[in-house]
Parts: sequence; C-alpha cells; structure tokens
Amino acid sequence: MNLNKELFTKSEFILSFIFLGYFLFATLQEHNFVLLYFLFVSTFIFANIILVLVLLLVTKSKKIKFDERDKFIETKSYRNAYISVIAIINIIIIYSIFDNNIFQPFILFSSLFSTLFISNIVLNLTKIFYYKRGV
Amino acid sequence: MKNLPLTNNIRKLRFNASEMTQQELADKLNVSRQTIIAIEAGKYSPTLELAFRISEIFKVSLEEVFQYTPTN
Repeated sequence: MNLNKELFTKSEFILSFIFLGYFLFATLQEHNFVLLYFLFVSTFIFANIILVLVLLLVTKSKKIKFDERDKFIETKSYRNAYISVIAIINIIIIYSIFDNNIFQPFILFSSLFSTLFISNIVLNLTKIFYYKRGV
Repeated sequence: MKNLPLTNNIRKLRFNASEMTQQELADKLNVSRQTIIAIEAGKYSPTLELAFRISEIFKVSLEEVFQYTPTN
C-alpha cells in the first residue's frame, strides 16, 4: 500500500514551524553565543529524531513510492526555498546599511538559522500547494 | 484547481480493461496511486514516457488515451 506523501510534507511542515517557534523563543530569552549554537544543534537533532520516529511509526507496514510527479514537485519546492533564502539574505544585507548592530555574531547567527527554518517552511508549503492544486 | 489543456480517457479505459483499479494501474506503471488520481483528474500532465507506457498497457494509441485541447 502506498502512503500519501502529502501527509509527510504536512508533518514536516508542522514540525519545522514548531521548531522555528521554539528556536526563536529560546534565542530571545538568552543572548549567549555558545548557548545559541547549542540550541540550534539540539533543535536540529531533536527535530530530525522526532521526524524519523514519526515516519517509522507511520510507514511500519507501508512502502512509499517516489515517482516523476514527486520529483517535479520537489524541484519546484527547492526552487522556491532557494529564492526565499536569497530574498532573506538580501533583506539582511539591505537592513545592515541602516543598522550596523546586525553584524553582531549573535544576531547574524540567529538570523542565519532562522533563514534555514523559514526556507524549510517555504519548501514544505510549496509541496503542499502543488500536491493540492496539481502541477 | 489548475486546468490543464490535456484530457484523458484513462478512467474509461480502466473499466474496459476488466475494471482495473487505480492501484493496479499504478503498480503496473511503477508510480503511486496519487499520481494516477492526479492524471485522471487532469491535475497533472504526465511525461511522454509515462504517457506511452499508459497507452502500451491499454494496448491503444496515445491519441486514444490523451487529447490536447488548447486554451486561450
């Protein structure tokens, strides 16, 4: 039996959204560079462990097929995620013209990590959109 | 929903082929059932290779499976 890949995309989307919130909340509480790095690594590992566990539970007796439609949707999603990363980096660069405080390592690192989370959200949102609307 | 200029008779051909299910067709084509559902609903235009493989399974010409109706 094949499992709907929409389900995986939705679970990944919800997880990345929750962890972006957790990451932002945690970084706003503590302005410590080492703690920030530790938080990012722990969040990343924790998110992936949960995702793997969820996928293992859901796919216990089912197999997933990855065909040409999925490849096509994935290509479009990665394009949008790439565009979002470039757009956010450009916004940060333009913002740095007006405010030099952004060059502090803490702010730079937290904005870089948030960019990665946001691009992941864009990736999954695009996938959900194309699975619903069609390509 | 996106309207594609490609229409198809897959549903009709499946029923003519001893009521073949979407899952059976998907297994023969080595794609997911969701892809067959999307093609039948006109939400996805398959690649030429997949289109030829579909017509080969039903033993009909490509034109009998897919019709192109240009939209303005």
